[in-house]
Amino acid sequence: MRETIVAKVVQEIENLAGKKIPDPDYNIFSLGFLDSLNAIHIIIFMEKEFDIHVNPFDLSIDVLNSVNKIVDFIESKINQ
Amino acid sequence: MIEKILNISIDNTPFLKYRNDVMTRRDFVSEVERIYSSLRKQYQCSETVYIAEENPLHFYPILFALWLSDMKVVFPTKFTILKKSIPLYASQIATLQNNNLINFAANTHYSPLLFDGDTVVFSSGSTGIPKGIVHDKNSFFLNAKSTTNFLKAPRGESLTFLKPYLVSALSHTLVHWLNRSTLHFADYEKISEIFCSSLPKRLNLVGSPIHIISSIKFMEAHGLAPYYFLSSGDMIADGIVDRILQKFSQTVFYKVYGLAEVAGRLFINTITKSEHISDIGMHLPDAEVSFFNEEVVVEAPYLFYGYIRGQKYKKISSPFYTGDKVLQTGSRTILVGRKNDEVKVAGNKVSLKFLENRIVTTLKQLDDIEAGFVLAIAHPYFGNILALVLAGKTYDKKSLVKLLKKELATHEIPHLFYTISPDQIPYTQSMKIDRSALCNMIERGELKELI
Repeated sequence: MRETIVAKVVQEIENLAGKKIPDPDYNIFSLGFLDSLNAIHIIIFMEKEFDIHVNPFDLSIDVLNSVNKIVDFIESKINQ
Repeated sequence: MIEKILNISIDNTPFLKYRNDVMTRRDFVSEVERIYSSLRKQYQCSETVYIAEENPLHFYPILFALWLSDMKVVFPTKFTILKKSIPLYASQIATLQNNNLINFAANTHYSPLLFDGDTVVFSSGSTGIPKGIVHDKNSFFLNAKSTTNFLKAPRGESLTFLKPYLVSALSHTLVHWLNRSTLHFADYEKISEIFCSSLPKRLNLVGSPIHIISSIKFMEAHGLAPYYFLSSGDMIADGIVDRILQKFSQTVFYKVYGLAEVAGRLFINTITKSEHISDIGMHLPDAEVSFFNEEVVVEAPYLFYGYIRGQKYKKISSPFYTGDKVLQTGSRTILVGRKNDEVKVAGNKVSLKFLENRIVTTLKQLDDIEAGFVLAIAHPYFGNILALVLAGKTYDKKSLVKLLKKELATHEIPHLFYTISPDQIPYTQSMKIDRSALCNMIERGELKELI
């Protein structure tokens, strides 16, 4: 299950960035990779792809900054 | 004016922070003086300098030194920082680095167009070619002084995720200087790592809606009662503001309407309870504001005086018609959007038809694109998000994003992708594309979404 989510998240982020993610803990908002406005693309993707509702009160600045953290967040929402 | 501003508060209190570096007020002034001395030895004020620098601890001392030298300054834009190709910059060669080898070069595009001391900032480029907005350097200080006096916010430490070259970031920086507060510039790292040594008692947060929204949980977890100073997200959903105010009863939420054309802020709505959240607020007292046919019209001592587009200069006379529309009901005034077809996507202006043309032109590289439509879909947290509906065959979303990324800024890349068969396209009575019907089709799930 987690592998499937990871694969989808990686694909989405790599699409947005146009380059490969070095590793699942890589800070995707580091300079030259994604910019903060891509957070909106990621939130919309999570809602659509995994049928979850992202409440802004669920978010903190570090929730979205790596593949592993995004996947943790999605899993926590799916398991709610 | 700049000498006077620089001398108001030289001490060892922190002014700017970035990553692990701290610049005190004394450090800041020393650095400005060092660069200023270097400039005076080597350069003429008739030259125009483009600042290619993202680190705020480098950017602002350089900017102040250039202003002190009365040089002509051109700000970078996200287009140049992100290396999007804009012919306007083809021959700009000035590069500034912080290795004590600061290199400048004259910019032949702009030098003949500008007066000494002029500063050019760029609009976001929602119409494709960013417009250079020409100010006298004093505009920025005048607006910041006016904003500081109006806000009367207590001193404190603030966090922002804005890039230093944005007009809103410059405005925050000047306000923090005048208010003797500390402004912490951050990339998208963890807030707890930024404040690993000590957490301030009060943390102001300044930025766009996505920054505000994504910081709420941290604020809550650490029992912080923040002041929120929303810089560029004047279209943030009222529900968000309402929930923040319910959660943090001590919070004062400054919802701000600003324009590059006024070098910073114009209206500020100071919200302390869940009332009148949508209101545009009060305008700064030294600005004269009127509403002509519901459009915001402004005259102010910090108003810009010209546009640069390509290599052409166009002088603008006061008052300035902003293009922003308001709705007036009783004593309330609410910002409702733009006169043209621009919408705000998480605080960034996007011209839908212009963007549509750019996207369709770009995607013509793919086979069988018959038509494409860009739609704004209301979103509870981000104001609007963008949907692209393509007529023709089924496309691969990955290829679409890859192509669009080459040509568009991040906020212009659609968030949702759909296909429609040509015979499904809805038309109005006058045979124009019925965009509201397209939006309804998306809402009802009648279009195929590309995942």
